Amino acid sequence: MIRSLWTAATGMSAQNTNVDVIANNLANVNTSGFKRGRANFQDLMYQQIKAPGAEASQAGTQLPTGIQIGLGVQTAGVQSIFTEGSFQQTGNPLDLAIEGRGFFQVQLPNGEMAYTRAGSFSVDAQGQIVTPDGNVLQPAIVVPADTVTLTIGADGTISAMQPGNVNTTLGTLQLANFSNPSGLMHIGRSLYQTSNASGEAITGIPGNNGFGGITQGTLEMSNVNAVEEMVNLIAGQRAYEMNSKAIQASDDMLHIANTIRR
Amino acid sequence: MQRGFFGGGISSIMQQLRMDDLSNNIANVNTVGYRASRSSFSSYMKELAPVGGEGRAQPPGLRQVSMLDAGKQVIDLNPGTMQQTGNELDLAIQGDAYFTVQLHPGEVALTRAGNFTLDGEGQLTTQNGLPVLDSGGSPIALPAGKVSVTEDGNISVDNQRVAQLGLSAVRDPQQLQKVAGTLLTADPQYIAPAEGNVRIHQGAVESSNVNSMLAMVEMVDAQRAYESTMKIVEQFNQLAAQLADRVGRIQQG
Repeated sequence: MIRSLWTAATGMSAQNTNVDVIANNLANVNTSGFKRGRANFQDLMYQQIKAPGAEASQAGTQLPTGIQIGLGVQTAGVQSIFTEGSFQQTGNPLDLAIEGRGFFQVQLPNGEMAYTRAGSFSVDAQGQIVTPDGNVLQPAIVVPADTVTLTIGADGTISAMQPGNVNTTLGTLQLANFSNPSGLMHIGRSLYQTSNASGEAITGIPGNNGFGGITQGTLEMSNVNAVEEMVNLIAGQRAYEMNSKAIQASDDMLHIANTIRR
Repeated sequence: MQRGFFGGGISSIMQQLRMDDLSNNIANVNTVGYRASRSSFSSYMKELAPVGGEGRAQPPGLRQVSMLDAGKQVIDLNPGTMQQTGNELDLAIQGDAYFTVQLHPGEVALTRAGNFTLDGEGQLTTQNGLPVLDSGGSPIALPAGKVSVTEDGNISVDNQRVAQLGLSAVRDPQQLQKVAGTLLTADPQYIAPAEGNVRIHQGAVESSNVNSMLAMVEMVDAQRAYESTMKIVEQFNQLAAQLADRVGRIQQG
């Protein structure tokens, strides 16, 4: 009896996590470069009431099947789904989108590397290309102050057109990739860092070796599909409700047991 | 003590077990690849000792009493509905087969939960990191690139063939046992490579096969059955109370 109470409680807490993840997805439905999360569930352990193959009679017959009572559900993990978001034309020369695999590499103030798909960059006072938080895009380049137009090619070549039609190549943008992007650690602000599960960063030139090309003047939108999230939200809420009903039913049964002896 | 007292009590315990089982199904109503379980009960007959000694006629129908026992449990193997996700490492099986994963070195487990992922070395694993095996029984390592899986389970990365998914079938489904992590195990003698009409769908997962409507109805049923068997226990309790209270009482006046 107590078993089913706790079993249903694991169900409620799992659905709680599910709704938390969906809420975060919906909150970021317009965040550029955001990758939606998905809570994955698994069944918890099983308690053996009768083992299969146990003696069923003195004549040596055996039980063909056992009886196992499951003890509920657990969250196996919240997985980031790295499908591509849709692209939005902005016309801003420092809005970059990766068409395909790869992450922009940025350096955090503490010197560590972080990775992002959010390509809304700008130029800071020193002429460095930075994220909205001021983290410098790597490999770092300096955009000359008198640049008329900045061009970034599909292969990551950054060149500046200066007064007098002088075209200078400033450097090449490099992208990073991982054997398991879903294993990257979220550090907020649309940034990721490596973990043991993601593997080390493999860097490369855009458009080569499986890396996506760069499109200038475009932003990658969030890959959250609002309709899908709403449907999942309904399913999660109803599952939560059903588990609460299982708790109620278990409670009623306990009440019945308690009222036998008057 | 009356036999019905225990009969009623045991039936109540059986309904509790059923309730526990149903709660687990309901808790896993959103678990990808989960297989519902159903418990059924069996009754067995218990010989009664002859009343009044040998050789005397027994009233018909009173020689045996029926008792209830936790009989068997079956795992519902009906497929769950397929849910499109668009994620390239989500695989769903259509047909009678299971993905083969390595539980411990040398020991395999089966699963229908195809929401796979990669580990840091690029190995295809389940959500709790168990390697998914190929048709030869070895883990599958995928290089970085675009993964595509054909309907017959061929995995390619950037159009280069990498591996063939190991799909297994179980000869006697009654031998299946559930293990934590949405896994099923069976004795190796019952596991064989899958044959026949089995198709893999990439970008989809199979949702739990728990029928939530049925589960709720069964829950009400279990609760009511518990209530009525507990009523029996209550009646016997009252009888016993009356026995202790009234029989042998000397009426005053």
